[in-house]
Amino acid sequence: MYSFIRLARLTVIAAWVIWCGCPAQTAAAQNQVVTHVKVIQASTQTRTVDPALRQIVPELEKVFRYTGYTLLQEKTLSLAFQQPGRILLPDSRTLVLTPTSSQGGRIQYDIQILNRKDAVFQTRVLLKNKRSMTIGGPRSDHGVLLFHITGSLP
Amino acid sequence: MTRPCGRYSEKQISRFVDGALSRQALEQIRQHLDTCSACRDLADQFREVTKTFDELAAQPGRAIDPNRLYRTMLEMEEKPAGSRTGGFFSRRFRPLLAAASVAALVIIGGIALIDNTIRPDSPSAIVTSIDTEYTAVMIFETPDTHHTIIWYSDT
Repeated sequence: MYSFIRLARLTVIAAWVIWCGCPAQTAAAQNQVVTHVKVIQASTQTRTVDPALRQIVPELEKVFRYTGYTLLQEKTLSLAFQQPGRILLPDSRTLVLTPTSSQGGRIQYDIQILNRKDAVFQTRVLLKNKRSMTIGGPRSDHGVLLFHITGSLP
Repeated sequence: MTRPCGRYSEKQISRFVDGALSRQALEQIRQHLDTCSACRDLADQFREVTKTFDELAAQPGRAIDPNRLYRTMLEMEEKPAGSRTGGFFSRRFRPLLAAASVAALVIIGGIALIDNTIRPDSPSAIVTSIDTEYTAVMIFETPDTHHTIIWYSDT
């Protein structure tokens, strides 16, 4: 009888610990912003479009006159608000993305492009949840780099 | 509304509160406010309106409460404001001015809130600031998907 009471007591304590822990974990997960970045090289030297970019390229072609698009790297960052995420780029450049807040269904990002240690470009944007934007311009190997950034809140 | 002393206009005091003047003009008005209670009261009233509006506009998805704004305006009206004379801000026109101000705030706030809601035709990203040493920066939006593109030339 005593062991049964002891087991029941342990079960209640374990359930309480799990119950208390779950909301905390959920809250922690809710503060994570998932940011997906595709680093693309666009050029007029080739006519090849990377198969992984077939969904993106049609909308880029409405603005750019490049004929070739190559996916250089792809990275998914899970970042807390105010936590910077870094992506190393060709030619000693670095892309730094920091989700700073969310408001009205949009995620606010501070985005920096560093050339070595110097910030050569920085912007603040309000990106729609689960939508994407592109930053482009840095020259690289007979073309330019494009950063296709998608942000999602859980 | 308190009337300014005459050295500076209401527009100038309003711009001072918004920080929309040259650094020199801001400093001059700041020094003036140290000694002029009328202009200081007016600046405080402008700050109160701005604060109330900002509080409401900063809450996405929540409609602006015109009654609260109107109450704020009325409370400001009841503050001691020294002698009041004629002109557009005279007692006769005050209800009209208050109503017009509330209407303007509601319209502006409505636009701000609409911009914050998820609309399919709004741009995928709103660019709030750009800082770069390069002079050529452009922002595009694709016609169909409203995909935002920031472009800068680093040459």
